[in-house]
Amino acid sequence: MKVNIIGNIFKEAGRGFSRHLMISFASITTVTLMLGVLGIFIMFSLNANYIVDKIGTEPPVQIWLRSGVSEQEITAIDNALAGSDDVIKYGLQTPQQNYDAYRETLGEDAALLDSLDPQKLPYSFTVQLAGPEAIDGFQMYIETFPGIDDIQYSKNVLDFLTSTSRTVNLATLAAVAVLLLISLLIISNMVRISILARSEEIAIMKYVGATNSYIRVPYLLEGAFTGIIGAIIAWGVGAYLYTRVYAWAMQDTQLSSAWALLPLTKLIWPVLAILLVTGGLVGAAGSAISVRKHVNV
Amino acid sequence: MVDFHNVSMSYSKKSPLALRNVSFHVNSGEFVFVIGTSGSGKSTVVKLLSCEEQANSGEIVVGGTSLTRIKQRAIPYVRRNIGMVFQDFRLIETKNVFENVAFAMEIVGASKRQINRQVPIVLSTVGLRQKAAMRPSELSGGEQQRVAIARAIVNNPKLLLADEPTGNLDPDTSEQIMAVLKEINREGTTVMICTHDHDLVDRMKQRVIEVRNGVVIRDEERAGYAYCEINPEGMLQT
Repeated sequence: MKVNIIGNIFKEAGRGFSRHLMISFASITTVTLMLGVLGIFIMFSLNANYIVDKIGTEPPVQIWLRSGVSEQEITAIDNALAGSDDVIKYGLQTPQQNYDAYRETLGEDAALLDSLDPQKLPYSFTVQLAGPEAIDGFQMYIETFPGIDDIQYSKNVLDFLTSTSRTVNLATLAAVAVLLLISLLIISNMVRISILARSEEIAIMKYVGATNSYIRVPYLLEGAFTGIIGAIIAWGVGAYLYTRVYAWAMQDTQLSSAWALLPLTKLIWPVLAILLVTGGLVGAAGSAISVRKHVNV
Repeated sequence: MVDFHNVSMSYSKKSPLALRNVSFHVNSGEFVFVIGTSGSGKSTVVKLLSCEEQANSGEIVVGGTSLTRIKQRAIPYVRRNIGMVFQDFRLIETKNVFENVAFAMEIVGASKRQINRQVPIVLSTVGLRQKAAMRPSELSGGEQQRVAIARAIVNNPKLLLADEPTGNLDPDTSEQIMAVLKEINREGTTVMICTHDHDLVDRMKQRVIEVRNGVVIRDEERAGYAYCEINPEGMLQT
């Protein structure tokens, strides 16, 4: 295609966009709403996964052994942990080390433990897993070894986060699907009105030898522009709201904490890319519906 | 230039044939009137030549390209070799005279330089160079039709097809339009005009193809509009 034709196509798309400002505004608003919801969903989802991953690895799984466990049983468990693909690292705590740690957690009340013989406390293993999804399989496997009394980890928190994340994801996807449909219809109508208003011009274009793509592409671009503008607005508003939420949520939280949110810089570019692609595609698809129906050489 | 060979066409399966076994040949550089009353089938000839409709049977060839089995995506390129002029001018009201003509060149991908060179030449040919900046609404009917002619010829088509080009014009203006079309024909463009304007056809004395009820009933060189025939009693009728 000649450069002049490409230039004309972009010029026509710009004209079409500015010709029906009110309809363009309505379309942009709908797309912005849809993409705003999508943006929030992505931000929540990225943060939930980030936190779940950290919780799944950072607070280690604690394996408590029976009191009176034999050396062979400890060695067998040690070997099993060393050979497991799910285990990133692990360590054995002696009764004395557990006693000292216990005293430390009690702080000023540590004196309560003065009468307790450290050797009465059990051995334990501290295990760091590759991820939260490995926990269930790992527990079933390690429980088969004799000498184990209890396995403790933050299962409730992980379950809560995982299920909340799943529910929110599903609800948001449903909302996005409905808004997507509405956006498609509104953009399709915007383009239809544009086509009908220019039907005479289109007829003349056909008679002087315009190809289907020459007539259709400006409308597809018009729809894509609408989607992209909606995406940029949704992204801007989303970024602003996220900085406010981040500032509020991180007031009393250390950056190194498992509960720390993703910083804006790590989140904003993937979100922009997803919103731009979605907005552009929804816009172009909405246009395509009308263009296919109403523009034929 | 244009070949119709046993062409039949109906607008739908239930409707009667708009053209029945129509055959004629137009040579390159000819000036031809296709005449007939409303509903005779002459506009169907225009629609077939502009690929708006497809024939049911027979073969149509324009400039060596068969339109009978033409692919959809090739149609625009055929149309670029056919300049079209309509009774209702079909100008874009939001564009001025220059832009209306330039529009046809933009579509085929002409550069700004080519457009700035070619459009004034074509506007001079139709006598509208001084009115290049005016909008169609500021022009008379005859002037608007001349803009339409300029748009039709700006890409140097081999064939100029005019459907009732003087239908909305007074006799004097019609005369001027025909003079412009004749001038274009003199420069080598084949011109086919569908009309039912008696006076015009009579004055021009060019080849006439008459269509009646979808059938070509007359194809005469240097003829007038009236159809002459000898009735069974031997009386000359018009």
